Amino acid sequence: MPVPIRQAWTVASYVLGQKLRGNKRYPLVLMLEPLFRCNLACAGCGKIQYPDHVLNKRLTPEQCWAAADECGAPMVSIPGGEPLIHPEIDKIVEGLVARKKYIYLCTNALLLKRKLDLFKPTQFLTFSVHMDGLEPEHDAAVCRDGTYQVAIEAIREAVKRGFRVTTNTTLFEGADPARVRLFFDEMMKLGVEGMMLSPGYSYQKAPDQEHFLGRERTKKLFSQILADRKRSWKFNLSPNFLEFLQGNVDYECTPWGNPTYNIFGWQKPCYLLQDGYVPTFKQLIEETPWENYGHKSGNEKCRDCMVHCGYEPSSVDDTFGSVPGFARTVKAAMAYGT
Amino acid sequence: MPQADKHALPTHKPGSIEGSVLECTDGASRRNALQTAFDYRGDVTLDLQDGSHLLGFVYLYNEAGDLVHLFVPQGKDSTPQTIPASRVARVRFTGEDTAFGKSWDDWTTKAEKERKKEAERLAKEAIARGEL
Repeated sequence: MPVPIRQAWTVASYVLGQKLRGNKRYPLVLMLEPLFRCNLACAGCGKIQYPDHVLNKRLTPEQCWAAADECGAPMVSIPGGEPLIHPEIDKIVEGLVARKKYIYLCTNALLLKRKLDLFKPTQFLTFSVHMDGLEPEHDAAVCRDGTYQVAIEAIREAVKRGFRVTTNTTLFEGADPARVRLFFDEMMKLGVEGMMLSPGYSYQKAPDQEHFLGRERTKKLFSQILADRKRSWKFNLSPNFLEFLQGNVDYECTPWGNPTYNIFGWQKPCYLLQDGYVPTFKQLIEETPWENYGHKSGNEKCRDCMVHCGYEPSSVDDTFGSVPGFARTVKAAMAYGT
Repeated sequence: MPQADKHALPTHKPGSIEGSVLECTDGASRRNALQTAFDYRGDVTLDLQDGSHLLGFVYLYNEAGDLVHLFVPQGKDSTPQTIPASRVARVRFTGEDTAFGKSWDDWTTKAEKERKKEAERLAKEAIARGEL
């Protein structure tokens, strides 16, 4: 089982607690962006196009911990930018571990091997390594040769030292299902705990606008990739989300499920869209016009989106929202080995 | 070149609003200019009604349309500042449009030599910052 039982139990009891309290809008994963600076400039990324003085800004550890406390989500994902560039990333992680948050530190792994000594293996910390395919595909996606090999070496070292490691893969237009399946084989051979998958999102500001997937193409691609899936493949995702990606189940977006905090404040409405910022999490939940977002809202920006930050919380909510939802999850979990 | 110096050298890139100027003659044009500034991924120079100027990155233009929030460069860092929208007379898109000209197609259509050169330059910059 790719997610440890203790983590699954923590998340399950948290969600059930929210349900019992009748809390309709609760966060599942805090997306904590302590900086926007990155040491890569990938064509599909919409997160790093800022002037230098903005790229130089960092959240302090205290700001990061306060955001985690204010939000209350049991899991914290730390993307960016490249979080390992942050000079106090170890301190940020240490404080979140002390709060018993399950952390996914999302990294391109270029600095991982060099910085591993800063961290201690714990069930609360997972390195989620950005890998967009086999060597040619990955190096092309991140616009720099040699990146794949550096990441592979870092993954091996982290696994060897007893860290939890997952991969995090974004798929764009033109992905070859057969090659993606080979890529899964390679990643599992490295001993990673599981793999995360998501279709790319067409950020308004991403330089690459023509290689993002529409909904029907997303479903087709993921159906091809996951057909006759191998038992050796482990996914660090809700099994219902994998069903959703293939079009076997339909969900509405849960944009408040993965709230985002960065140097500008709490981002409205979600990790992908930037319709403004508010200073408190309470304001984010209470003041955002949520009805204006999600596939059914008719919002053009949400039309093609099937990204995990909006739909994985939906699938988790489905699991604990009804008996059929729970049954769907059990069935899918048995099929995917998640 | 420091961001603060760029307002002196506005250049217009085809397909980008970099170098453009939007006048705020009434409420609607002011709202449009500031919304465009909010969407822009570069610094802007706000010419204020009193004749002064404010250069910075507009990270928030509130829904009511009465406040503009910027990060104003101070050396290598920047500090947040908020001003009433009504003070803005003109928006000049003076900073580099950081999202412009970096598309996948731009990347792939470049000759292999150019791609390598660009990747090497970005890597050198990251190394110089101690980030690689």
